[in-house]
Amino acid sequence: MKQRLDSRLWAVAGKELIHILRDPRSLTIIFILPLFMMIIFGYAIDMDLKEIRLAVVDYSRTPSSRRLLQSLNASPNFKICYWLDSSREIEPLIKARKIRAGLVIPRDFAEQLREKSKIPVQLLVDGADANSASILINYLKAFLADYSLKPVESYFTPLLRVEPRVWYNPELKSANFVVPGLVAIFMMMICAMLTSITLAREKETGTLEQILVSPITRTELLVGKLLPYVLLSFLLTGVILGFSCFWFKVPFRGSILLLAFSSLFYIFSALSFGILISAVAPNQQMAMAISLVSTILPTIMLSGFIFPIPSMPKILQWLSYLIPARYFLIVIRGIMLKGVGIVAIYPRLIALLLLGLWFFLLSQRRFKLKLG
Amino acid sequence: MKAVLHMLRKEFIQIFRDRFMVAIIFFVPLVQLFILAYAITTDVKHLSTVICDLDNSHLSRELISRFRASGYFDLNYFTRRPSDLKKLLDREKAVLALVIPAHFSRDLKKFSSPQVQLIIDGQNSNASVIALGYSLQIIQRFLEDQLKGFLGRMPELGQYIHIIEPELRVWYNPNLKSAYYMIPGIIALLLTIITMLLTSLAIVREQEIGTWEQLMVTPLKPYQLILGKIIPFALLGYLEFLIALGIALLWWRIPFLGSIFLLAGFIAVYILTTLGLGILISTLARTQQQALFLCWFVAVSCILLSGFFFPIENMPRFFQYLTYLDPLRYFICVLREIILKGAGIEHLLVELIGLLVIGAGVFSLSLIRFQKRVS
Amino acid sequence: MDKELAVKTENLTKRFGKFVAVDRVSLEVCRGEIFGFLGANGAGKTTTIRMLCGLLMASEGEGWVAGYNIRTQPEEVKKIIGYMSQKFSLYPDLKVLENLRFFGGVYGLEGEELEKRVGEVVEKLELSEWSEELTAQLPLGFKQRLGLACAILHYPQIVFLDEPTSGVDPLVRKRFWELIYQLSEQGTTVFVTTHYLEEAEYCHRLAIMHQGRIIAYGSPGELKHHWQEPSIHRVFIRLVKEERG
Repeated sequence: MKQRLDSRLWAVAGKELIHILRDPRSLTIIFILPLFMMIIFGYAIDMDLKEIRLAVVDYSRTPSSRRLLQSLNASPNFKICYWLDSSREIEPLIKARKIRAGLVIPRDFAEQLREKSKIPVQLLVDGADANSASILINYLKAFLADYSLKPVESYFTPLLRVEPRVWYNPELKSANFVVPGLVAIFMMMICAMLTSITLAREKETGTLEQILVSPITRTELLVGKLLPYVLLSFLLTGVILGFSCFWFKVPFRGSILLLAFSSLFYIFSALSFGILISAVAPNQQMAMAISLVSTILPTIMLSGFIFPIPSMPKILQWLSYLIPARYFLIVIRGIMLKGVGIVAIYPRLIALLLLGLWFFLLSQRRFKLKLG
Repeated sequence: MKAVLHMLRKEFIQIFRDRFMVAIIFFVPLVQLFILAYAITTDVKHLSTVICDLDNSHLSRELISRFRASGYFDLNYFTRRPSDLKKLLDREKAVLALVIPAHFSRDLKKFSSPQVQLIIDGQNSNASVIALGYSLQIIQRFLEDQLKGFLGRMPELGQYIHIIEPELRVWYNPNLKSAYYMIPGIIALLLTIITMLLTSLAIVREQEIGTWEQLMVTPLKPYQLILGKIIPFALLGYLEFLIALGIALLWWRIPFLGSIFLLAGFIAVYILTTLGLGILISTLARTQQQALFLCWFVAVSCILLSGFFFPIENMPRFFQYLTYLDPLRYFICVLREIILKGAGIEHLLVELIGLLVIGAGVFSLSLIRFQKRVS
Repeated sequence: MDKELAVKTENLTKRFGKFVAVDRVSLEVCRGEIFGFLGANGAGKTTTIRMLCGLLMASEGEGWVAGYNIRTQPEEVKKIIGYMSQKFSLYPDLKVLENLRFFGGVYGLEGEELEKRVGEVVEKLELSEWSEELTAQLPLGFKQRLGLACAILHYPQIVFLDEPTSGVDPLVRKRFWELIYQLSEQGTTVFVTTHYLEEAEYCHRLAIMHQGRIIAYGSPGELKHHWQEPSIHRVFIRLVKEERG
């Protein structure tokens, strides 16, 4: 009996695999496009501001002011593109998007520098892009503070030394952060989106009837259908990781086996979610729509992929607990960048398991309702 | 032309008969707008911090309380053992660690230069840099205040302390509300996905069920087929955009400085471009699944390269050139400039030309591929 | 070009890569005739029809439909033909009347004329009780009728029917052929493919296709006489055996 059970399952899996392999277009899309996207993601995602374009107006024209401006220009964060005569010229330049901010040094700068303890300079900022503006302001404040305290330091040993140490990603490379996230996204895409669409299509084309006539059980059909996608996602993950380590030189400090093992948990929860979607969606189109909305977008936005979860409003933070990628991102980054072992990640794995089981139970209930 | 009208009638009947479709077109983007608007924050707050205070003096506690008071850091863990730090950071329970050495207070007062350690989880480079910035600022301010204290005892120091501070004037968005910048962009994003997706799916679906062939046997010409498919989604997309924009402007109270007509014109041009992309995709995909994936990839690439999330100046030269091919790049810029700065058409000529050129290019390509498909 | 001929082809050929789907097919169909195209699945019938309708470009050879060259004047051809594909290809989410109005409109009928014609067709094809139903709900037999209805709305000169009766029970099939006869009597040429060999007897003339080539061509009577077989069915089997053997 066991023999026949296994072979039926493999028969289904085999057929499904052939379907997938015989569709070169889909294969290209599934494999090539993620690579293509990875390249874009890897290079485009860099939120630091470098070489902020500035205009300066120096009403003082003294050695002190010139020294400040030279120093500013020498800093990698800033680039003085325009040396203007009047502060009135700043706004048109901002409107034309040639600069992000203008710095105006007052006429009495040198005198103030000698006498006062707080010397104001004017900073006119393009506030339209609020994020960049905030960052810009922070950078400038930091620069000025640093510049201000230098003379003091030359007279005394520094009052306080701060030793910043950046762990896990000392080069502060965005690719290191983003690429593991991409793995999570693409896996989700294949395991949740593709499977939900496939299963919904089965429902639509009526293969369900096949089950009723043949000796195959629903479970076997299900597992058989899903197996190729699991394989596919492993393959894709391998390709993506290989590519990213080779091209972007993303470090892999942990154990590959551990990653493979952990992936199973993630895949399980993603698959369960896909099954849930297919149980809910009446046809293929709906499955597509629902999966697009509930898998990809939340995974990118709410999983901590780019935007940090603690900064979000409470409601969204709670919502993020339902997103498998949230847990898996920590796991995969942990393994790749931090080189952690299972002790550090096992709570997340359990969470994935529970989440997957919950999705699966929900889908079973829907299923029963429908058949009954 | 009458034939196109018939196609339009058919499309609208189909669209509105499908209740789910209607929900997707109108309801879902709005929900996503709200979620995204609140989720997308590059603000760095609630940084989980672990404090390792080996000095436990009045001064060290003062420094720590400043960290707490800043509002950026959640001081969740306190420990005396440096070994705990790795554990906490490894498990991502904390992203920042402040280590105050023993004899901190004594060394500071004696000008013996104590060393404070800041350990940052560098995974999210952007957040790390900002967190570092905040920390340094806090320490800086702490130092300044200490210096003032010393000034009390050593007035001659006064001549050496000159802090240059920027006086801020922020234009267009004085409170630096990121909503002003983000929201219009988010709407543009969502609409890009929807218009592209719906158009390409609509065409591919007809191909899948066979009605496309039936259409091709009729005297309908290829341009009529395309028009019949685009116009409904153009109208719907346009309507949707205006509704979403209206709601957003009201909800977030974003001031609208520019000309509505100019904006309306640009929206029309942009929607046509995305629809064209949808059609192009439909000529590349054989099944709805493939269309879905392709749309997805194109949309996300456009979003990434648009300069919305990540500044274009940061990208490598090659990608910067690539962004010129991205219609969303121009459109987001236009949105921002018109809404927040009241820019006129004279400032936006580059964008207009860019959009028109891309639109023309995409449509020509689609038409060519369409012909091939038909015969 | 002989205007009396509804369809004429000369060595019409279609290749897909190395595979020759249609191999030098030459035939003539007279006006008002019911011309049958027989053969097993995959013999090349659908591909031939597609070429005649302007859906596929022929690899070699020429064809004319109602005097228009299918290579150079496909648009003219489309105006005067009706087509019913093998796979049901009308809009399932449209009601019966909506489908009819749409296709009628696309073929140039409008206003009162459109309504009148739609009403006529509905009556003639006995679709009245289903007219407000969604097309997806129709039983197969009625779906076929709707397909035919949409194909004849614009009074086409020639109607191409690709396996119009497959999957339908014999009673419904008979009814359908009665409709085809009516069309023919009104002067419409009917070019029909089928793999039901009994239906061959209903045609004025027919061609039997096998692996892309025509292996028999003529009226049912002629063929039965020539091969000395009592039915087209037997003729077919005999021919196929000879091809194979």
